[in-house]
Amino acid sequence: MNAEKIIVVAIIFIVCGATATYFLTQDSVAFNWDRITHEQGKTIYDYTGGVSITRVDYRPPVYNNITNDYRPKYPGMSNEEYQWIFGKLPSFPEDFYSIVQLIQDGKITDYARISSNYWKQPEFYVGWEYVFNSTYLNNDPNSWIPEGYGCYPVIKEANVDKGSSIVVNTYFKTGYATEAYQGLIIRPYLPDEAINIKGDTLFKQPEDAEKYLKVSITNEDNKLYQSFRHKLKYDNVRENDWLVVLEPTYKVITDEYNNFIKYDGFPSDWVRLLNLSVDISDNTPSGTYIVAIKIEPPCFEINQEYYFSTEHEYYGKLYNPGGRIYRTKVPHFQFVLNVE
Amino acid sequence: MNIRNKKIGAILFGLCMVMIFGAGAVTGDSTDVVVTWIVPGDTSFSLTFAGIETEIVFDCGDRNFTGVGARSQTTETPILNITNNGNTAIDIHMVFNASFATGVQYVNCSVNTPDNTTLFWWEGPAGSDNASSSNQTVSPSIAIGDGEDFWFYSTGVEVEETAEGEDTLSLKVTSVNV
Repeated sequence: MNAEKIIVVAIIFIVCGATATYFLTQDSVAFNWDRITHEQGKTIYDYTGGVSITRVDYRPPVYNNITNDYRPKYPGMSNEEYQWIFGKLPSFPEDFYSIVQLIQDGKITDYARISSNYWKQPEFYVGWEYVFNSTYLNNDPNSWIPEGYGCYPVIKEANVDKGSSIVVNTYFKTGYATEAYQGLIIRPYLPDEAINIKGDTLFKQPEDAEKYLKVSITNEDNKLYQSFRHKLKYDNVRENDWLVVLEPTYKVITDEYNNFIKYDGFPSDWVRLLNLSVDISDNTPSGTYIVAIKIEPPCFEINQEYYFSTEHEYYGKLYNPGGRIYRTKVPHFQFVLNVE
Repeated sequence: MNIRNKKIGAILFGLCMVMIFGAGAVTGDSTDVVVTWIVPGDTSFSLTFAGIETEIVFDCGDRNFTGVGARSQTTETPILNITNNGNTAIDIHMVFNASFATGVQYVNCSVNTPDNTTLFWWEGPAGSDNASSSNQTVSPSIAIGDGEDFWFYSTGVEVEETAEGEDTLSLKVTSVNV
């Protein structure tokens, strides 16, 4: 082999290497790569307190010629209602229930890499199968649901290095058949203790944790809020908070005489990937720390702007500041950090 | 192949390998966080209100009132329903975060029946047995997909005409075995 051939071969290798570099780098930017080493039984605390968690059952894929994908068929649901309820969601994958089983088994745990074709389907969550009949197909006109949301999963535990900055994810979803635009401030904080889903204390927060951990939610604030926030004399949204307005998942459309035309179901962003960012300083003492999120209501000044936004559909009675009256004991999401 | 060519080839090959393996290291945020455990719990819930209410309001109409029901609730429609949308059974505790307005003696909560017989109550004066701050288990177990209905009533004597404001009703929701 002469020098020219060697150089040609080398150039091919270099091009391949550069291409690999490009794509691998792009992936690391596009996704929050949580490299997962799921090891059953390795958790250091009893997060469930013995409570059994119900799973989504496996179903073999059956083509649905109404929706032209593999969405399950529901007794009593008309062809129109399939479009109303699911029309703005991604298509339902053929391997949906296989992937869900892998997630539930802990074989896929990097939630940021899972396609939204899976986690934006209501069938991804156990509660759907229990409530779709009473909330969508037989909705009670004498009442409404102005508030509903939750996270999945509720707890993550991770080993982290001192001096690192990390992002962990959870799915933040709007409640089923919620009829209001819910204004929420989602606030990361360092609680005094970690608790399991039964409400039992697991461990206390180490002293001075706030000196070593900086937490924030990096999701973009609601655009309408961004447009008026500079006009406000008072604003209770902190720099590391996320102000979000959740759209209704059940919205009745009527004509000018208030006659029912249809209802709209899930908007395309009814579930959002929540990005919780944590900076761990170099001098953090080794130990187990806890970060959580809680829901706070927007202040009067913010709510008033939404009520006044006559050019926007947030106007009027359909806007409801969530987290105003009701608080839950168990945080919607907790992140346990083993700092090593 | 002469020595010079071998050196060129070795250098370029080595450079290529450095780039390939270096590319793997670019994704190095994987070394920062290793998730060892995920609890796939889901404690989502939804709140249903009578009419178009978003809170529990007592329109008393007078300084003295007995068992006045929350606005918009009827015998058929509770003022509040809490539905478990998650993947575990849950219990529900309720507590008020502040004392009631002067003269308000009770807030009663009837569960799954409107007839004011299955009652939990909170008293006005702080320090009493059922002070507004007492945490009460109003529902010990709600299965997945099920809901619990709540009717609210209030009683007051010589309530100050200027008494207004909101007390915060907190839900304490935890998972339970069934």
